[in-house]
Amino acid sequence: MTTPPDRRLLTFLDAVGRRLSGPAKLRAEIVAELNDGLLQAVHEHRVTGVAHEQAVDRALAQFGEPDALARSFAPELAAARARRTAIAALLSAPIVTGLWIAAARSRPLTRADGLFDGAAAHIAAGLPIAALILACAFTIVTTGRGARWLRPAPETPPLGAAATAFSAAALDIVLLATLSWRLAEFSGSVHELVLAAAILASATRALVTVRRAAGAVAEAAAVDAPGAP
Amino acid sequence: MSAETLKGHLDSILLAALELEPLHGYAIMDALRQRSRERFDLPTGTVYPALHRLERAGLVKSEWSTVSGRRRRTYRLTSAGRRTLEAERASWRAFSRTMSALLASPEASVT
Repeated sequence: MTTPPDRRLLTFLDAVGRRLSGPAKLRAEIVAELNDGLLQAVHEHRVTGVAHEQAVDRALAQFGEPDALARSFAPELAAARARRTAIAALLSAPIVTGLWIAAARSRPLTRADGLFDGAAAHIAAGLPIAALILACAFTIVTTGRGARWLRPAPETPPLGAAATAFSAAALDIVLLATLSWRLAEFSGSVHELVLAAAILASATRALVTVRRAAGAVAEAAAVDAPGAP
Repeated sequence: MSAETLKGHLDSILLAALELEPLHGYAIMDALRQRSRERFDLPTGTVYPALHRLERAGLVKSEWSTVSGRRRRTYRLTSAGRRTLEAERASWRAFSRTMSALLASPEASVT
């Protein structure tokens, strides 16, 4: 039986859809799933002999307020976004690191240049790398199968994403602040483009990750807020 | 019975609802209402996100199909979901036996 689309159901679904924030595919799936559930509810009230209008009333009452319903999906959408952030950090790591290594190798750098010497330089680069690896692994584990055993709180995945994004941004800022100007000092060398690409890659990633980190912190606060599920 | 009382057991309840056959979200809510003889009415905003969470954890798997011209998402237990359900069931039985013994009225225990 095909139920004709009901204006009130469409308005409800539209209201829920507009209040969801997260990956577009997931939002569309949530709306499609709710649409099926609502129509099924209407159908089941109809077969008990209830008139169409009343059946719609009852179905809508079962599904609650659009605002509250949309809010209940926030932790799931935040977890999905957190996972994407961690995977993006993982995938971009070899590209950004590879470009910097290629840029460094294209210059006649030696240990005598002092660039890679000193505890401070190692700590400056090592800390964000270690933080990035840890935050990334933590986020991937808590938003996937690991959730089975770890049972993370709703705000844990977005906080993991924020830590991942902040570490990636910190690493890029360290790379830009230390390597870019030292490498640019060597004149007349080959592979100008490689250095430019490394700088562009790190600058882009730093901008994207700083924004994403701020967004993830806001998501963590939203799912942790009173009234959130 | 309020949803709050059963919140800690939500995952087990949903896994149990899927034990016999794959179901879509609304059918799961319906099955739970009937199984609990109308005493237990889980809100929509609880069931769907919980199913998505269980899928992320690999305990259920969903598939999309087209029914009556609309898209439908059906959930089934994975083997990990089945194992988790068995473990939850065993631990619930042990808990329930212990509580029954502890809460039994003194008169009932006199033989």
